[in-house]
Amino acid sequence: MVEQEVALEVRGKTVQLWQGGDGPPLLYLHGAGLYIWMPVHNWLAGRRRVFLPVHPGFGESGGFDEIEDIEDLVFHTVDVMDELGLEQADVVGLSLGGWLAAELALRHPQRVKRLVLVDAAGTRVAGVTRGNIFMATPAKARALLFHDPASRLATTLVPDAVPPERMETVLRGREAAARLLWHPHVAQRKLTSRLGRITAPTLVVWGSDDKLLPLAYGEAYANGIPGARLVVIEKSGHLPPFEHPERFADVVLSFLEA
Amino acid sequence: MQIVCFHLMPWPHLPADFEQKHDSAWLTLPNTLFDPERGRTLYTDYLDQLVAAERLGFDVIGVNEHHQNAYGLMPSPNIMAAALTKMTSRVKILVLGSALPLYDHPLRVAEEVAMLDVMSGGRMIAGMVVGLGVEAYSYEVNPTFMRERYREAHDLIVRAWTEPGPFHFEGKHYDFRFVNVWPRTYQQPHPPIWIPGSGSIETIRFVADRRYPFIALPYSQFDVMCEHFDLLREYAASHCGYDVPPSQIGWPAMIYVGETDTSAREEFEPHFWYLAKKGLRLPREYMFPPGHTSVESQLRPGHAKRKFISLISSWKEAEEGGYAIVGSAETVRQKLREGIKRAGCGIIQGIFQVGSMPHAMTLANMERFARHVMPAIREEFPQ
Repeated sequence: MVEQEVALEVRGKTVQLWQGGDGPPLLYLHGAGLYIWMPVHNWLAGRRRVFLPVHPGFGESGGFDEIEDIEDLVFHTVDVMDELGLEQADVVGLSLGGWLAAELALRHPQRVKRLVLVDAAGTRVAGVTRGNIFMATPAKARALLFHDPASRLATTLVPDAVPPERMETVLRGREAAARLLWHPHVAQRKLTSRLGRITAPTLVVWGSDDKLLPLAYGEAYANGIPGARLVVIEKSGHLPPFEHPERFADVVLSFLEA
Repeated sequence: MQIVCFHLMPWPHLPADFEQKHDSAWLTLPNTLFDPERGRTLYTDYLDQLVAAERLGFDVIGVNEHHQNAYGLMPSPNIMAAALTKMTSRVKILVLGSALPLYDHPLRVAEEVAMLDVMSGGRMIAGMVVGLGVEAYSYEVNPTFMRERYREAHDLIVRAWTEPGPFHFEGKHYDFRFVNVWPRTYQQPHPPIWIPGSGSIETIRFVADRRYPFIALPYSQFDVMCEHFDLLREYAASHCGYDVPPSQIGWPAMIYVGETDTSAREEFEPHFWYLAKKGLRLPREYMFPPGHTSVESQLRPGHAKRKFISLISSWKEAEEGGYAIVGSAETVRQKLREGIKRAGCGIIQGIFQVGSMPHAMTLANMERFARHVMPAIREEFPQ
């Protein structure tokens, strides 16, 4: 699979971008924990041109100082689409990226062809507790994120100790995540009440066993967005694209090509 | 030398099986463990200890601020300070608080300190703290904004005390169209400001730039603390063009004076471990939310060297690390002398009630210190 890592210049800020594959454009909006090209992106790139821009503050991307809330990240993402020449794209977002995708579809409907929300943050469901990833030890984080916390995938992605050479990137990424996810109460309340305005055909994909954002949050998205369909990935936690990359890619590509 | 009697006002009644049942004395510890009747006695005893400190000749009495925990029962230190303004008459009163970023209305801090300063006839020392990482959870404050909010709130408060009102303060986090604090502070232009810090680069630069006294945090090795003081001196000399005087450096120390070295240790040690293993039981993830400490500070080599008191396991380690100053009067005098010279400090922030230490034992400790240690220290290190 052709895969390139490049640095874009967007309004004076550096944006790290992974891209690969051929076909209609697919904009993949990453979550707070992982912002590299993974096997799932290869699967998607088999039939799509996949763009994975790294959000400000994460990885090698600059511009964190200009991000105060999700609204700023929406503006930034539109800038990235402009820079990539993506007048319109299918948008797939995981977790934080799912929240971003929903906000993008709400504010810029002409830019989003089809929308896929995966274990997406951003909504409120009264009475269903969300996990708190910031308070979690690595072991607890694995339990919140993965169907099988003892799997090699889990211990690789969330190790007990961060290797020293990755420490700075991890610390900066956690800071960037906290900036957006610490207490987005107001944004969540408003997004939940605005979901009915989303016009893009929408697929909601959720891990059956997501303990960070339980399935009720997926149902809230599916019920709130007109015509949205919910697909539950069995034996998956918060990260279906990484836990079941092939199955996940199948579900997503079938929807996009329907 | 300014000698402070500082109080944390801990909850001393955590059950014996607390460590088995709870992973934290902060944030998530059920408040059903607090017994209001016992709490009433505690507040009375603790305030009496601070009042005794004035009688015993301390220069300053101090209270602090922490939220949702059994470590210290002063979510609002200004309430304690208010009581103390009327229970004392000469001693200075240090509030170390206030945790500025926790407040959406820092003008309230400006107002309350001004009230306290007028009520006390100009005896207030105003602390300004960032607040612990865990308090980002307690007050639902985004930790990645805490340092910005701290600086902005500081600027707002100092301007509110010093500039004629009303005026408009327009910042990123705070925007007040009418800053006009009544009453004005008794001390002019404003009460002294002391800043406690864990040694982060940001705080050291902040205090160096403004020449504020810097008070270390008490729970890591003495040598690590001294490195922070060295850093402050180096930064002030190289970037601000001045030599930091001892009066700008504060050493917080748990102090216990017994009749002999042996009896001192026997009496003190259980309360020390209560503090280290119960009161400061605090998971790393609570303590270090993302952004509360800058990436730059976390990556500094010294950061890894620090060993928080809750992680030590033997009295030998406690003693060698200088986590507490314990012994006969002679021993305590000697340790303080050496420590003051190494730290280069002009402020000793003594903590005499530690963990579960009972009232009578605390008072006896304070009296032995005041009678047998304080005079020698004052003589050797005059103000």
